[in-house]
Amino acid sequence: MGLLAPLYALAALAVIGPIVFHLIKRQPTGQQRFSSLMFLSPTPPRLTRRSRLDNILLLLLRALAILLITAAFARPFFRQESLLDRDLSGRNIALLIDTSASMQRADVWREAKDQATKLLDSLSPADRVSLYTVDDLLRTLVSLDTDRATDAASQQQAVRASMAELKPTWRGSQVADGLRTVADLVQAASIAGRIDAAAQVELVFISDLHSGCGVESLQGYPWPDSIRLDVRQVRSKAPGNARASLVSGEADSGSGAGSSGDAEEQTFKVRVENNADSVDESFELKWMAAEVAIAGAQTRLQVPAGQVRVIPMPSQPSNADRLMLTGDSWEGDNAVYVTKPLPKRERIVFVGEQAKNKEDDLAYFLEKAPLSTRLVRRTVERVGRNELSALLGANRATDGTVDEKLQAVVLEAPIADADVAALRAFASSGGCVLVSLARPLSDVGATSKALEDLLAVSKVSLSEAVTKDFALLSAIDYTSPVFKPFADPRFNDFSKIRVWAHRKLSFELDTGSLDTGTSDTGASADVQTIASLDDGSPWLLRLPMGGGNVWIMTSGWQPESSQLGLSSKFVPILMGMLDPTGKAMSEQSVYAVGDAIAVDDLPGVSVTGVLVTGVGGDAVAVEVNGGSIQLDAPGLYNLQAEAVRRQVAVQVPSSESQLTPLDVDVFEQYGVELGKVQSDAERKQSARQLQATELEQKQRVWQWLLLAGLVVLGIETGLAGWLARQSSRSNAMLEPQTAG
Amino acid sequence: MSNSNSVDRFATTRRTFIDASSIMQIKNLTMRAKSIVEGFASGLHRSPVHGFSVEFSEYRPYVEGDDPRGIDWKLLARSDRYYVKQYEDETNRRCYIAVDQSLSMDYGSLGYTKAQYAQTIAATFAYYLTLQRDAVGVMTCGNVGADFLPPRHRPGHLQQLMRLLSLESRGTESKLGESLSQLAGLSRRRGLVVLVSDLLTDPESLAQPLGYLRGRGHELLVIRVIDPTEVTLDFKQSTMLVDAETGREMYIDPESARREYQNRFRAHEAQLIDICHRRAARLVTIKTDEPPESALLELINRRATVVSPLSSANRSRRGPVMSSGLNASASGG
Repeated sequence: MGLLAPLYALAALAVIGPIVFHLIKRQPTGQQRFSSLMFLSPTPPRLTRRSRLDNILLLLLRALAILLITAAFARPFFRQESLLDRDLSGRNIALLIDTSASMQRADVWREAKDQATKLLDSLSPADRVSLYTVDDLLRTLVSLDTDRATDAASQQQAVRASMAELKPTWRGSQVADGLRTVADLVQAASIAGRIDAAAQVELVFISDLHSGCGVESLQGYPWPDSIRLDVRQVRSKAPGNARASLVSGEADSGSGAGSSGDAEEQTFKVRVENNADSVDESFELKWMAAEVAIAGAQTRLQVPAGQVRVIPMPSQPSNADRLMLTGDSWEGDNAVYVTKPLPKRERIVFVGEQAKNKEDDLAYFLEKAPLSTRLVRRTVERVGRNELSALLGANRATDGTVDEKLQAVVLEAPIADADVAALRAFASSGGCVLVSLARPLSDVGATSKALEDLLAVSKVSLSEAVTKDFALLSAIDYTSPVFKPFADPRFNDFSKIRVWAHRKLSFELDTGSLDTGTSDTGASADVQTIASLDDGSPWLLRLPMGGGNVWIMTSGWQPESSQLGLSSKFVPILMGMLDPTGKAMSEQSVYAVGDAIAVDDLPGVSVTGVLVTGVGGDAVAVEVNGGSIQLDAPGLYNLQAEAVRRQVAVQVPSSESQLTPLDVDVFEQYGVELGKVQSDAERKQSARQLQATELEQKQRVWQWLLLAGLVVLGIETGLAGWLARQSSRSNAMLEPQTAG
Repeated sequence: MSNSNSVDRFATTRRTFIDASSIMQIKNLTMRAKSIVEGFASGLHRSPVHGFSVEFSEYRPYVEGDDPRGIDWKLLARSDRYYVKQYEDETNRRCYIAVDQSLSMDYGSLGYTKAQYAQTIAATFAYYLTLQRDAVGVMTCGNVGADFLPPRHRPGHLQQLMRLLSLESRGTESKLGESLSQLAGLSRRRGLVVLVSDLLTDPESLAQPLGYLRGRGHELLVIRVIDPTEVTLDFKQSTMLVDAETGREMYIDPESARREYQNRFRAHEAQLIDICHRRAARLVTIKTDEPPESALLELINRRATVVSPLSSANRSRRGPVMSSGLNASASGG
C-alpha cells in the first residue's frame, strides 16, 4: 500500500491531543449548589483510575476518527507493482557547450566539463545524446541523427570521448546563433523522421552566459514548443574582469619623406574598462617584450567597477610587442598586442627642369614635403626626361615586385609624346601621374597635343593666363578626396593660396578611345575639374584611369608660380593625389581571433600561400580561403608571402571580456521555454508517481476512509451526548430543592 | 407529676418516630405539625395537653368557661370552693421561635430543603406549645421582608403562625446576629427562645446576641438543622460547587477535600458548642434525615446542659404564687 500525500499522515500525530487532554485534565461534571463553601478550599483535578475507565471509549472513538480522516487526506492506494514499473522511452538530448574564449578560465571550464559528465551519468542507456560546441561558429561533434544502427549507449560513449578531448577556443561567442542552429537541426531531424518525433527532445546548454555572449539575437526567433532548454550556467569563483584596448597610436615622424623612419615616437592612449561585478579596482599597465616586463615602462591606475578610464601610456619601447594589464581576475584577455608595422616603400619620380634656385625648383618642395607615414615611406628622386619611358617600362615589367614601388610620377611640362603611352599605362596600373604646367610654355602646340593624348580629349587649348596680381582658388569640389579634408569650414579658406601665374586650359571630350598600345581603358575619358580659379579656368583636373589617376595642375607650386608650396595645405593636397583612397593610411593590423585577415594584397599569396609565424618565430600553418586567413589564438603574427611581410596583432574578442554573468531567466524574455533535464532516476520516480496518482484516482480509498471517519464521529457525538445526559441527571439529584 | 419524672419517662422510653421523608411529604404545614405532635403523644399515658411539663403556679377561683379538668378537687373538698390550678406556663409562658430562612437553608439533598425542615420543626413547636396554652411568637429571618408575630395565645393565632411559616419568601444572606439582636429588642417578656437555623455563619457573631437574649432572661434552645451531605461532603465526583448565599464557585474534588472539610466542620461545631455553653443555650443538632419528633423531644426534654446562675435566681424570685394560703408548690404536678 502506498500514500499519495504521505505528509498528511503526520496529522495523525494530532491523536496525541485528545490523549494528552484526557490525561491531564478532568472536567467537572457540572455545577452544583451547596449551602456554604465556608469549610472548603479549591482542590486541583485529580486523575483517578475510575474516571479514566469512564472515558476510554470516547477517547478511542475520537482517536479513531482522527486517524481515519488523516488517512483519507494521505490518499492511500493499493500498489499494483506490475503497473507501476514501466519501461521509459529514450529521450533525445542535444548537448551544446560554449567553447568561447571566456571559457578559458580554468575553474569555469572544469565546472563545465563536470556538468557535462554529470548529465551523461544521469541518463539512461536508452537516451540518445548529441554534442555540439559553439563559439562564433557552431560545430557538430556528435550529431543528433547519427545512424540509427548505432545504439544509444555507443553514442553516449562517443560523446564522452569527444568531451575528453574538448578544449575551449579563443573565439568570440555567438550563443544565439548556436542555439537557433541546434534547434533548427533538431526540428529538421524530427520532421524528416531521422529522430523519433514522439521522443522528447531536450537541449542542454552549458555556458558561463556572460553579458557579451550575444544572446540578444534570440529576440524574434520563434522557439520550438517541443524543445525545452536546460541552461546550466557555470560561474567563476573570482568574479569580474578588466580589459585594456588601444585608443590611438599615431606616428609622429620627425623627418620627411626619404627618411628611414627608424626613430619614431608614438603616443599611446589606452582604454581600460572594468566590469560592473569586479571586486578589483587597482591595475597596472606595462610594456612587455614576449613574456618579460620591460623595466620602467609601467603605469598604475584605478578604475572602479563598471567604469572606464582612458590613460596615456609611455611610448612603446622598441622591443615591446604587447601591453599587459594586471590586477584583474582573468589574465586571458589582458595582453594587448601592438604591431610594429613594416612600412611600404614608395618612390615618387620627378621629371622636370632643375632650377638654379631651389626656391624655384618644383622637386625641392616635393623632397621637403612630409609625404611618408607610419605605413608608407616615400622617396622622391629626379629622373631625366629621356629616362622616363625606360623607367616606366621597367616598372611594368617587374609588375611592382621591386622593394620600392614606383607610386607616382610628377612631371613638369612639357610632356614628350613618347612618354604619353607609358604614362597612361602607368596610371592605368594604379600609378599617379601629376603634370604641372608650372612655367610659361614654350611649345604650346606640343604640350597641347601631349595633353590631348594623355587625357584622351579631342582638343586642348592652352594659353597663358593674364591675371591682375593673382588668382585665387574657387569652385572647389570638396567631394574629391583631394579637398575632402578641407570640407570643414574651419579649413576651407584658400584665399591665402595666391596663384601668381597659371595657364588657361580648355578641352573638348573625345568619346573615342585613344590607341595607346596598352590594355588600359581610357575609353570614356571623364576629366573632372576638381578646382578652378576665380577667372573660371580650371586649376586642377583629374582623369581616373584604371587603378590610378592623371592629375593636371595648371600652375606650379613654387613661389614664383603660386603660394601652394608654402601653404600648409600643400602636403594634404599632394597626399590626396598620391593616395586618394586612403588605403595606405589605414591599413588594418589589428584583428580579433576568428576574424578574416585579408592577405590577397600580399604578392604571390595565391601561388605560394602565406607563412605565418608567431612572435616567437614558430610557424603556424594556415590555409588561405578566399584571399583571407583566420588565426585561432591571440598574439602577434608576421605574415609573409615571398618578400613581402606584414605584421598583424590578433586580440581576444572584446565581447569575451564582458564577463558579468547574465541571469538564466533572460531566455524566457525571448520566448524560450526553460526546463530541467531529469535524471533517469527522477524520470522513473515521476513515472511511478504519475502511475500512483492514476491508481489512487481509480481506487478512491480516501472516500471510504472519510465516510468511516464521519460515521465514527457521529457515534462519538452520540455517545458523548448520552454520557453527558447521564452525568447531568446524577448531578440533578444533588441540585437544591425549591422552597415550599 | 414532676417534670423530671415526666422527662425521665420520656427520656428512657424507646420511641418509634415516623421517618422524616414521610412526614415531609405532607404538604400542609399545619397538618404536618399536627401529625408530628399527635404521633409523638400517641405513646404517652397522659395527654400532653395537661401541661405535664409545667410547674404549678397558683390557684385562682373557678369562673365559668374554665376547663373543669383544671379544678383542684382536693381543695374543693377542703374548702368547698372551686379553684383552678394555675400553672406558670399558663400565665406567662412565652416562646419565641426564630426561623432562619436564608439562602443557605435553601439546600437539601433528600428531596426537601433545610428551610422546609426548619419550617416543620417551627410549626411543630408552635402547634405543640399552643396546645400547651403557651404564647408562641414567630420571627422569620434571613429573607426579604422578615416578619415577626409576637407571642400570643388567642384563637386564630396559631393559624397566623402557620400562615407566616408557610409563606414563600426569597432568602438572603443570613445575618443571624442582627436578627437575634432584633429579637432581643422585640421580646419584652422573658420566655423561651428557640432558634432554628443551620448556623452557617461566624460563631462569634452569635455570642453577643445570645448574650442579649440571655440577659433578658430568656431560655435559649438552638436547633441546628443540617443536611447529611453537609456533614460528610458525600459527593461522588468532582464538581463545581456554587455557594448558595454568595454565588461563589469553587471546583472541588470530594476525595481530596473531604477530610479538610470535615475537620473544619467539626471545628465550627465545637465553636458553636462553646458559645452556646457560655451563653447557657442548649444546642441541638438535627440532621434533615432524622424524624422531626426528635426535635420535639428535645423541646419537651429541655433541660439546661449548663447550670446557669440566672435560672436559680429566677426560681427564688418567683416564690409561692398562691396568695390565698394554699400550699404553694414549686413544681407543678
